[in-house]
Order: sequence, then C-alpha cells, then structure tokens
Amino acid sequence: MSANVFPEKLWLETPLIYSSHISSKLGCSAYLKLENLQPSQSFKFRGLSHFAQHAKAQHGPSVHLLAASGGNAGVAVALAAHALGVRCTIYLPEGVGREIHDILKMHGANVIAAGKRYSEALQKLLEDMKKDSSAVLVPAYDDPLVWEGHSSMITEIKTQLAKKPDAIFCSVGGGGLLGGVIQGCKQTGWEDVPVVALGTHGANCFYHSVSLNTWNSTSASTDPVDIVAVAENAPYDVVLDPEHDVTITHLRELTSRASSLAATSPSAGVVKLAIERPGGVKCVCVPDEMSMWAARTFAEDHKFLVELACSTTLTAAYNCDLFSHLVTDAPTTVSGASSSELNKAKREKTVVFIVCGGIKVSLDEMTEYRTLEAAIEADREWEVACNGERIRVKK
Amino acid sequence: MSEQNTQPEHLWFETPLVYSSHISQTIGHSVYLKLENLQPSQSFKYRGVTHFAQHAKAQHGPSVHFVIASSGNAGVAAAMAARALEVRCTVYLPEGVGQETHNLLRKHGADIIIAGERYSQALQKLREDMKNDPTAVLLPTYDDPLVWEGHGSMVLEIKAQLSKKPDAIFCSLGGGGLLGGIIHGCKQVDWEDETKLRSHVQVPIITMETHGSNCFYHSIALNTQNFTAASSGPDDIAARTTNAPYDIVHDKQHDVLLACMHELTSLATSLGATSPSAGVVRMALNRPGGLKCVCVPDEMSMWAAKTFAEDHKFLVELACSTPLTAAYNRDLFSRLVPGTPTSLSEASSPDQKRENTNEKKTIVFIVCGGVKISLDEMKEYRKLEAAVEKNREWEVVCDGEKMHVSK
Repeated sequence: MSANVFPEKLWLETPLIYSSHISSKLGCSAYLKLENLQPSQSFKFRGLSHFAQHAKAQHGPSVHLLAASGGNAGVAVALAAHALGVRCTIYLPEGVGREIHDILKMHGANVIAAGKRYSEALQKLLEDMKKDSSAVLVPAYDDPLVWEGHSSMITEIKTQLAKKPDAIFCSVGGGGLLGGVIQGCKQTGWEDVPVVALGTHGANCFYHSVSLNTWNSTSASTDPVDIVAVAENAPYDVVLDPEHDVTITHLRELTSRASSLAATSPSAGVVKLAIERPGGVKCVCVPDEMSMWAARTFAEDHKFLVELACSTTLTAAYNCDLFSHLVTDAPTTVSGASSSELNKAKREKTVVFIVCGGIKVSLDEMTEYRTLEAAIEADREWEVACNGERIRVKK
Repeated sequence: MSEQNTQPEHLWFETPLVYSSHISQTIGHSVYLKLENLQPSQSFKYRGVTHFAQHAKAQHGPSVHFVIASSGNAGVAAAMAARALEVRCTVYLPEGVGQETHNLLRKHGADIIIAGERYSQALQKLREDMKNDPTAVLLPTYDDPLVWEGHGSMVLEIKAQLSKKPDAIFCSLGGGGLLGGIIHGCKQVDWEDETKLRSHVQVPIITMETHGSNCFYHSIALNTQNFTAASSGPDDIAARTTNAPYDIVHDKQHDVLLACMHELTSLATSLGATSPSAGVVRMALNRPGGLKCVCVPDEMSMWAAKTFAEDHKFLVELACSTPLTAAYNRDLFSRLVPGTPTSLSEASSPDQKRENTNEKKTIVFIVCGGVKISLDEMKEYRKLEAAVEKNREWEVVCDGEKMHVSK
C-alpha cells in the first residue's frame, strides 16, 4: 500500500475508476486514474508536495518556498506550503489572469508579477533568492524528488488494479509526469509495461528530444558537429546535456493551446529515463483540435472538465484507429484469428489513462474549442506523429 | 480503495470526501464534498439500487429479470447493477426520451421498451408485462427501505473519513430516497437522536428542492401545519386542497399526508417526483428540529452549477447543484446553519468573535451526481440565469418562511 511508502504524504490516494464509456468504445477494459481529484486539482501535487516536505525537513519551518509558474505547478506549491505551514511566493509574468492570482492567494501564497515572459519572472525569482537565505526553489518538473512523488500514482494503480496493465497512457510536456510514471513502473516491477506519452504538435519538445536520441538520430554519437547540422532547418536549437549525455531540443516557439504542456525544453533526466527504458516509451504528437474534441467527448461522458494538456492523453481513448496504432500488439494485427477471438483478446486487455487534471479550463474555453474544432470538421483524418512516423488517423 | 473484488460485499464505490478550498473560503467554514458523481453509474443511486438488486438476486436466483421505468439516473443505475450481477435488465421509457439516454442504457447492457407518451404509461406497460414474467422484479427508484439502507452507506463512509461529526449535511431532495438514506445512515452511526433525549447527537440535515419540484416540502408543510406544529392529522383535507397546486393523499401505513403535485415545472428533472416517499416523510417528521426544508429557484441552481463547474471542474445536473446554492451564497448559508454570521461585519463584532473563536463549522455537501447535464445545457442555463440577472435577490422558502436572499 502506498501509505507505507510515503507515510506522511500530503497527496490523496486517488480513485482508479473503470470507464464504461471508453471501454465500450475501445472494446477493452479502460481505467482512469483521477488525478484531477488531488487537492490542487492536478497530479503535480504529488511531486511538488513531496519536494516541499523534504525542503521543510531539511531547512526547517522558516523555509520560504519559491516557484515561477502561472499554472498548475504554482497552485500545487502554494497549497503544499499552506498545508506545511511555511511561506510561499509564486512568481508570474505580468498578464496572467486574475483567476490564477485569486487561487494562489486563496492558498495563502504571496504573488509577484514580473516581466512579460515566464523566463523573466524566473529571472526575478533567482535574483530575489540571492538575498533570501531561507528561499528554496521548487522545480516544476525537473527533479528526481518530484518524479519520486509522482511515481506514487503507479504504486497506487498496482494496488487498485487486479492485474498488470497492457499499457499506460499519459501526457508529456516537460516530462515530469512521465518521469514519475517511468520511476513508478521500475519500483513496481512494471518495466515491461508499454508507456505511451502524448503531447501536441505545437508543444513537443520532448518528442523532438527523444527523436534526436533514438529513432531519428543520424549517428550514434551526439558529437557537437552533428548537432549543428541537425538544428539547421529545425524549429529548435539543440543542446547537449553533459550530465545525462543526451541531446535536448530548445523549441523556439510554442504554438499549442495546451498551455500546461508548454515547455521550451524537456527534463534531460527524463529523456534519459525514456530512452534507457527496456521497452522504451512511445512518443506521440496530436493536433490541438483532436485534443479539444477529446476534451469535449470526455466532458459529455464523464462530466469532468479537463484542460487540453489532460485531454491530449484521452485522444487515444476516444479514437479506435489511434489506439490500435499505439497498442501495437493488439490482436487486430494477428492474422488468422477469427473476429470473435480477436474481440475476446481485445476485451481482455487492460489499459490505464492518467487523467492528469489541471485548472486551465473554463466553460467559455470549452465553447471556444468547439468552434476551433468545427473549423476543421471537413478534414476526415487527424495528422498524428508517432515515434518518428507521420500517420493519418481516421476521425 | 480496491477497484475489483472477486467476492464483493457491495457493488458501490467508497467515494472520496474532499475538502473544498473554494467553498470553504466562500462561506468561511470547513466544507467537504462527498463525491457521489464518481459512482460507477455516476450518481449516488448506484448504492441503493445495487443493494436492492443484490438482495433480489440472492432471493430469486440468477434468472431474475430486473425491470424499471426510468429515463434518469435510476435507470442507468439499474442497467449497470444488472450487468455487474450478470442478470437481465429491461428499462421502460416513454416516447421522446433523448437518444443519449437510449445509447447510455444500451452501453450498459440493458434492453429498452418504449411505451406511451408519459412516464405513467411506460410504468403501466411495465406492470402489464410483469404479470406475464415470473422472473421479473421491479427495482424501486426511491421508495424502499433496502434502497435507503444502500444509500445510507455513504454516511458510514463520511463518519470514517471525517475526523469529527459534521455540523450539518446538505442534500438534494426529489422523491426522498437520498434523504431516507442519510437518516438511515445517521441512525447507524449515532448521528440520530432516536430516543429524543439526546438532541446533541443529532446531525442537522438541510434538504433542498426547487420551487417547481417540491412535493416533499409541501408534504412536510401539510403534516406540520406549515412547519408550526409537531404533527397534524388527516382531517379537513378537502379544505386544504382548494387552490393548492397538489392533491392530498393520506398514507395509512405511515400515517402521513402526501402532496401529489399537479405538475412539475422545474428543469431539475431528476428531482421530478409528483409525490414523495411516505416512509421518508415519516422519518423526517420523527426528526423534529433536525431537518430544514428549503426550496430555491431553478436559476439559482443554474448559477451554482456554473460556479461549481468553474471551481471544481465537475459538470453536475441541476438536481445536484441545488444544495450547492447554499455553498456559494453566504447569505443563504448563514440563514440555514444556526450560529454562523450573515456578514463579515457581523463576524467581526465583539459578541460574534467571542462566540466564533475557533468555531469553524464542519459542513458536508452531498454531491449526488447524475448524467442529465451537457455542455449545451450549461450554455442554455447561462442564458436563463442572465435573464434574471437584474433581480438583486433570490426568492427562497425555508420551513414555511419566504426569504429574500442577496445575490
């Protein structure tokens, strides 16, 4: 039981529910891990509260937790600090909506608005840290303690599910969640469980990074000369991370509406974990509009409003064509089996979708997404990227 | 919280009781939400219906055939219960029920029979068919002690999940099934004063209906001379029905008067019962001082549904958002929960401060769930709510009193 592994944990052991809707759509047993039920309304509360607890244990109750985030990470840090009774300051760029300021203040955090972009807010944070000996920066996704906290969700799934899943689906932005999933699978003896990480075309730094280090790499080495050649026409700059010995992409711009996936560069540590994983990680990018369509279908079925970063995972739950591309040992590819045998084998498959949660969604945005999705209704296929291949998936 | 048991004692899910930062901040107390929207059938009905169904299968064997007339959450719960127990289920619906409901019932493995233009006609066809089917067992939607016993399990869970006794429980009320469950559960965990000598153990329950669907409110009023007396008898029924929006029936078994509404006008259709459970009316009357009956306008429920969706990211139907009107309106809340200040200035008055130091109350709202909500309906509700935006107050009734509650 996860309670023994993390006895003082602040996060909630969330339900793993069977989804009749998705199971009947896909013809297998589909479960949802409901991270939207965490106190901060996203999975981030696991890893960030874990980090915060360690920081308090290490630095004492006068510790001052800092984070630069106008999103779910900021909310998670504020709430964790509140629960631990320590000070917290969140740095945001100017122009972040009032609702975020209100939520952060509701959880007792100080809020400092600085600069026009996230990088400038972070800059101000780092400057202020120099003058504050009690300040500790809580990383949004790039830290082993954060992945350790997130990994608890896999430990819970193992207890809650009667069997080993045939696949786990999750979203990927900077890679924090994926880091937790990979670590969790290691701890529970699920190293051979296929993991599918989904992002959007306009926020795919992780996809490009894995691509450079694996299926698309033009050479086995990450010699600096090759890096320059690769980066010429690409929408990113390329950097070698010496600590983890992996090549990392820095996207020049982020164009996806799934703002919570919007990292310009992924965690090098998680890229390393992904490429070293025995079964690997399947990396997928979908269009924003497909994620919007999935968000709407999920809302109508399950009555949960989820942000695009979260519904990106669910594109595979609601599109049988995409699902069967991703769960490649699904018996649809086995020749010679009768259709009833195929269906029986499919029905016996068990998959888990991590519903990562997040607060960046409103009823107005759901209405807007419908308009954007309708604009491309005439297209009969979605353009999806999967492990270096461009595939066309039927709507 | 294991998802699968090979030999489950019960089919329902132990649902989370989550602390709501949003609502706690709005009303200034510690507020918890019991998330019944997470039941397998997406509403609390799954508890009572599966409990009844399990008993019926044990009694009649695996060839039992469950039948029910319901286009709502009871039907969905019945279909899923039957599937989980691997027995047949037929849901009777009137014509005109939306395709989504048909699809959902079929998705859960039920057969569907369409009969008549109105619910009563579908029920009629069900009863006729039952005469020819010895395996058929009618699943009650709200009026049965086994159903209340099943629903009552949520109170046992709340007791285990909360470290203290709540100061109030808020719930919706249609036919009274949920209330029956809560009172039954309170009895089991000593939150009910059955001896009438220990009123301090009783947990106050606040039941909320809408003006256009309030058979229970009227029934309690009938039995208490409009909330002024402990009880009143069945005399002068004829006199009282003049000009009333209901007929009155005397239920002999429970010795209570029941209001049978002539029409239901609320959009909170899942609350739509023409008459309440007599058994639950009797349970409520046996709980003097421990129950408040409230009716709110549909638009207030719509506004609460919208606010709840923006805060908690749950879409809930109007039957579910009706009690949440008190979660999001401090004025209404303070009138319903004694000992809470009506305004911040009152809260900071010396008398109030003395009384309320460290006196944060613990409140539980049952989020009963339900599938009768869509994104389109949320948009529609916004328009309807906007139409009454100019009014600066909501008209609410509570225990016989009309109140004007500030928006």
